[in-house]
Amino acid sequence: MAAPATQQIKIRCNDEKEFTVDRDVLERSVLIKNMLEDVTEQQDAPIPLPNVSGPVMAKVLEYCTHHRGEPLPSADTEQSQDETRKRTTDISEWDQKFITVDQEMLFEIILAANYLDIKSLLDVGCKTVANMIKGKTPEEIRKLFNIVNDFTPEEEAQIKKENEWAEDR
Amino acid sequence: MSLSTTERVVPDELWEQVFLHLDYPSVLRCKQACRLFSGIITASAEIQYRGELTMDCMIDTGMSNLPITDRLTLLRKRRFAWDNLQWNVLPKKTIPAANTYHTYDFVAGTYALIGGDEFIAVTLPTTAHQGIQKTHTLDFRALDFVMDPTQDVVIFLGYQMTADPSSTYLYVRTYESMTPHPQSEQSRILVNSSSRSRVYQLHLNGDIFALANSHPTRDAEIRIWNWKTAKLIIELTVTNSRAESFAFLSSEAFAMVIRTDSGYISIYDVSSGTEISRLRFPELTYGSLSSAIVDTPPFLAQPRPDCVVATSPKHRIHTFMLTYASDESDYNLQAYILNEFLLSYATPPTAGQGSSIHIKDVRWEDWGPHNTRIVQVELFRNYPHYFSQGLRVVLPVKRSDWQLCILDFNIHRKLADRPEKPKAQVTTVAHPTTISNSELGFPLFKYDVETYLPYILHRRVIPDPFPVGLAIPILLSECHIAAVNDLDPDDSYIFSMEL
Repeated sequence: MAAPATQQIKIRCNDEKEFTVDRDVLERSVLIKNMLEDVTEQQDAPIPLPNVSGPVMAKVLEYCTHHRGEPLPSADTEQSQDETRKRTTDISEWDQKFITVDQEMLFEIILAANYLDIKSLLDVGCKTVANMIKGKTPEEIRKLFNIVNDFTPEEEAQIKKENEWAEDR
Repeated sequence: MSLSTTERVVPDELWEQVFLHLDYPSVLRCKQACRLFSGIITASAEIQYRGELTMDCMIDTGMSNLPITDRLTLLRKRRFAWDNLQWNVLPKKTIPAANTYHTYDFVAGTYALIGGDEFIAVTLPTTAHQGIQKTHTLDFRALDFVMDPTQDVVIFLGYQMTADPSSTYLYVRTYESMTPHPQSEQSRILVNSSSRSRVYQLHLNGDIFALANSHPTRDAEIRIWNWKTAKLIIELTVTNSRAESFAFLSSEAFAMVIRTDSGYISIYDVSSGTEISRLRFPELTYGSLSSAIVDTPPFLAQPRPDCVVATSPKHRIHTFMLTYASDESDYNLQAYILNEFLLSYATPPTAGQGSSIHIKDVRWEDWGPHNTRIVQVELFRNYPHYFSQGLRVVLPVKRSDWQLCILDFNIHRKLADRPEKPKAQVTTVAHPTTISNSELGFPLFKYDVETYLPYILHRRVIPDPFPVGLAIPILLSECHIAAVNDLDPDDSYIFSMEL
């Protein structure tokens, strides 16, 4: 049974920060949607979300509010969506603006989207990281993510040689 | 964010998600960044599968429920088979006596031919399917046809036996039952002029098809229709060109070879029918370009549903068979050109650049050497056609060495491992080759013609029962090498091998 759109749900983040949100907005998260469906009687206690902090949740809710009412990917469409998604790295203008955050927040959003099971937000996040990587050299990629090159010079030469065939493509 | 944080908080499967949004060269650069990335990429069958598909110029047809790991295995097996020319010989299919049939086509593993009022289609067997032969009696006399079984469509050029034979029609039929195609608004399109006594060619690309025809003494006429709406999109006369010189580059562009001066490839925009570019062939000293026949692998609207992987629709190699005539002799050259390259000259100028039509005119020196490979060939008597599929071209087998030669113009992929006792020879041809006047024994070209387009040459001596000889076409499809033996009218058959 679809709940009335006006129903308000309370959630609590790992930093004790609480939000009261319209149910349909929260249901963008498959995790929360399933939780709400399992609960039959009205509960006043907030839903605990131990893996998300208040500032990150605020961003996630901004996204969910903007995209409220859009159809959720159902289990049967997931396969075909996987096929059509392919390597498209185009992101809508609003999402682009929304996801223009520092790298730490970007990864926090991705982790939250993964935990809360919000597929479209996870996709936007991963595409954004992918766009940052595109066209960069291995050294630039290391610099981007503050990665230490942990290959031995021999290993590095070996991988480089293996990849040569694809380089001018 | 430092790696230690990243490593701790971002699980591997999320990095995998990120890498899945990357093109393969970027993935490979990530692989070079650190052990963590390298490990995630190597362990992900999906990343490997997508990457190897791209490099092989293949796509997943989306028709298979097989797990990714199985599809990856299949892709690698296919690559191994083509690279090493390892095949299974399939039972030969008898076909009707070929001397009464005159036009044939080989598309998506289906060999079809017409003669009089009969249409015969043979779906070649594979190890999984037995193969089917269908014979339909047509209610008209067919002159030529073009088909795309993935759209269930066959378009015939023909005429009504009872009516005035000067009225020629295009018949849009279903491949399965030969009934008028339900998606076509008009099952028959009148072609205003008689097409007999002319050379005519039909070409199909998605929703549109072209009828090119020419008369020995007149110019080529090109007409392009949308077969669903039966609407004529363009109709034009191309001076100093022939019907056989037509090639679709996409559903938006086509090319013609024009024999004026030393000859050039003219690229047209379909929707406006305007000429966009001219790519000139090497300058001649004496003689002239007397004929140009273009062979292009068929364009399919959809990948074949029974294939897990298929050649990407945008990757094609065109073969331009150029014949130069002088007072002394004919010189036959083969020019291979990638479809992607020709398409880069097919973009019409954007609106607002004024009404003056500006045709991009490119000298041979500025486009040719790096984007073609020209070789001298013996022209096979009665049989000028070469056959190709995707980026592969098969050469006619010579009686002198009985070698099957396949040229693969996708050199950006990883070659499959070699078996212990390879049956095929594999050579990468990346060095320039030259057609010189001294070699031709005639000062045909103003300058030596040096070309560079790289390819991989696969050669294997063909097995005994393979029916080869002059005038026997060898055909390629996604997983077949086939030959038609039509020399003996009492024993005509298709011999095929599955890779």
